[in-house]
Amino acid sequence: MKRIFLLVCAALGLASPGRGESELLRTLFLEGEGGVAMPQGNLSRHFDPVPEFGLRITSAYYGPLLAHILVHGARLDGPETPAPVWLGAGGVGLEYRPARAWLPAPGIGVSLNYGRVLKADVPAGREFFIEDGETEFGFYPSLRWRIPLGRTWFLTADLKEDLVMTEPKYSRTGAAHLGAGWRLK
Amino acid sequence: MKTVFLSGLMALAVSAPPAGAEEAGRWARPWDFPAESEFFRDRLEQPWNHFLLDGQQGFIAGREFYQATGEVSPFLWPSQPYLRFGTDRAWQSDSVPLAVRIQAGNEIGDPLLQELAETETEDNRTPLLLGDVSWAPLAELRLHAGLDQNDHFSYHTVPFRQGLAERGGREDLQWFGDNFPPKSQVNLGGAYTHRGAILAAQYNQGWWWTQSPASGWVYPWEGFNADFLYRTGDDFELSLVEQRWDSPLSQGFYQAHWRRSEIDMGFLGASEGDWVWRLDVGYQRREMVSDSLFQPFLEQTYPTRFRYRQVWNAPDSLPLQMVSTGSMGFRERMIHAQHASEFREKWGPHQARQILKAYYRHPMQGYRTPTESFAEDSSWSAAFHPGQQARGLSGELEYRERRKAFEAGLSGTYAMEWEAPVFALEGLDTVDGALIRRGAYRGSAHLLQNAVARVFAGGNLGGKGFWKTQAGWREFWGKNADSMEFRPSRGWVGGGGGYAFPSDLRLELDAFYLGGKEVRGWGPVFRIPAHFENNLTLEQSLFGDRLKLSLTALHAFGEDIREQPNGNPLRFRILAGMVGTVY
Repeated sequence: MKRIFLLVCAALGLASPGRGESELLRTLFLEGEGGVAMPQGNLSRHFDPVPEFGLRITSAYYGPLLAHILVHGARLDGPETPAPVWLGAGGVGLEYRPARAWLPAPGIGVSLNYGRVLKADVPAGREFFIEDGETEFGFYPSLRWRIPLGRTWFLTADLKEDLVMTEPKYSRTGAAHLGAGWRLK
Repeated sequence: MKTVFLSGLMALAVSAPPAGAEEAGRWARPWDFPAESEFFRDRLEQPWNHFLLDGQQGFIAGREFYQATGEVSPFLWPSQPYLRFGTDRAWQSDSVPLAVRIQAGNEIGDPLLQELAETETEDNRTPLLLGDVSWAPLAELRLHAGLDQNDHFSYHTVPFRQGLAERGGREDLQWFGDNFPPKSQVNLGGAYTHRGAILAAQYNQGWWWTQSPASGWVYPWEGFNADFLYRTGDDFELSLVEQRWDSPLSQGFYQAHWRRSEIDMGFLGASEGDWVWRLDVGYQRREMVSDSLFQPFLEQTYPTRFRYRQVWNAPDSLPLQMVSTGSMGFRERMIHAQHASEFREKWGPHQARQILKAYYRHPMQGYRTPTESFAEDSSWSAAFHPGQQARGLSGELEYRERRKAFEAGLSGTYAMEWEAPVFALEGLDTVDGALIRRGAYRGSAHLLQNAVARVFAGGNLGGKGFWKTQAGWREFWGKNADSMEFRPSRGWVGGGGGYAFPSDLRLELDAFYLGGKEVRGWGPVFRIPAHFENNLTLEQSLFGDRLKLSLTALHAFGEDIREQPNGNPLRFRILAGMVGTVY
């Protein structure tokens, strides 16, 4: 999986060569999105699917490539977890916007994830590192659709797979979001 | 130019810069890792010199034990990565109205959610968080605030630190988190400049854990460091330092208070023949008050030091330049003298240089060194007794051919040292998983020698990229060759390169294969197998370089490598950084 992360880094780098200059911030979009986060792998036994909300800023980057930064937050809970977890993630990545609007835009990004359980939620006699907050890096491939509503507004839908580089196993969460966006410039 | 010479004098006290550094190609400059902190810089710039053994860096004993670099010892022990706890004046040179720097890093493999899902989880991994703001509200005034909390390479001793803290009844030995990080401090500062003079003050407060190189024991401290600087142009500098650290574990088994007060006046000047020099005189008071753990002492001295540098250029008909640097002084009851001469010759693309260096150090009667005596067992102690006549010599020969977009060369370095310190081990124990030892560093009666041969090449990749590569081999001789505590890799080979894409994205990668290393003095010889070290960096510039975002993967390939008995493995780490400026 470490190699996959490095491939993501290399993809972010190699996706950008060409002629000319960066087009960053020439166009800019603000989006709000909400959906469901579905823990997978060994997390699925412990955590239920939960609502997840976030904000995203997307910018032109280079030709058909768009760059984005995002923040997401969710509260993971389930029947077998000893305590619910507040999970926040920030990410930065690129997506390739095809010429045809109805085609999905494949994307990839790197995330920094923060998790914390409240001491009040921890059962008596238990103790966790995550009580004081823990962080870990990860990455996420995604597919996004964008439906224009006039010249300024648009709707979005996406499918995303978050992989956080934890041990002993990577933490995987699938997510699906619907959102609305506004072109800032 | 004179200002540059004078301000750089301290750094140049031992080693002169590489020949032709001013016009060096991109490939010839040190590795550039935009997302790494100062902590990693030492390690990453020259991984083949890990353990700090190199004629360029200072000799074995010189760097580790006698502060051959000429820097001030910030605490009881000479500088180590984790022992650089003084205030940082680097922000004073910011030239933009507003500069913001943020850096977050992690040793990959935290359990995070897995801690709740798995019964058996791995170690908790250690993070790093640095951030600072430098702001000039007025043309003559600059303010600075920052946070510096660094847990990296420290997890192995977390149980040890937690054990001490719990026995001392303390939970708040850091600004945030729960790992008892080796460094957790906030920094504040301000500088006023007027007509070339600067008046600056800075202060930091926080918590630190220092690890003794002698015993391996880690000690908690809380306190502050403060300094004041007044400099008038190129002529005069006044510096005041106040450091007060207390052991914070009031219910613990020991108490210790460390205080250092220092005043230094520096007189700078230049003479005919392109000489620049600096004379420092001052007063220093160092006091350790301890009921059991350290041997208490009070030392008051008047440190003095004279440093010089000359760049001599032969007449135009001769392609020769000679750079002489050196210092002599008395500090903390230690007399020292050192001198280096570097000769540079240039015939078109052919460049050669030769360096000769020598040093001598002699502790005076009454020289005090930190002596640890463990409260839990009064028969245990760890001490440091430097050699009475420590001295060394080194030389280097280098040839390089430099073309417009390419260079290649070879070099050889030789160094020998008398009375290099060797640890005489008297006993080992384990506390909360960490090794501690008793015994003493003592100046050896024997000579230690080493020599290095190196070949290197580098060049441009079009107008936007560069590559560089090198390979080297070193050998050790002398009775102490098999007893020196840290023996770095005998051989290494590697290289790397970088490229700046048109989208203002920069990619840099380097990889080295290093021979095995050894650590002695902690029981059986601790062998580190031959291994890869590698790093990958992406940096995106925005708004015409006003904002830079970076991502660095350290040791992205290869197995985890533990390099010291009490150390944390060298393993996959990621650092994310952001530097923003307004101008």
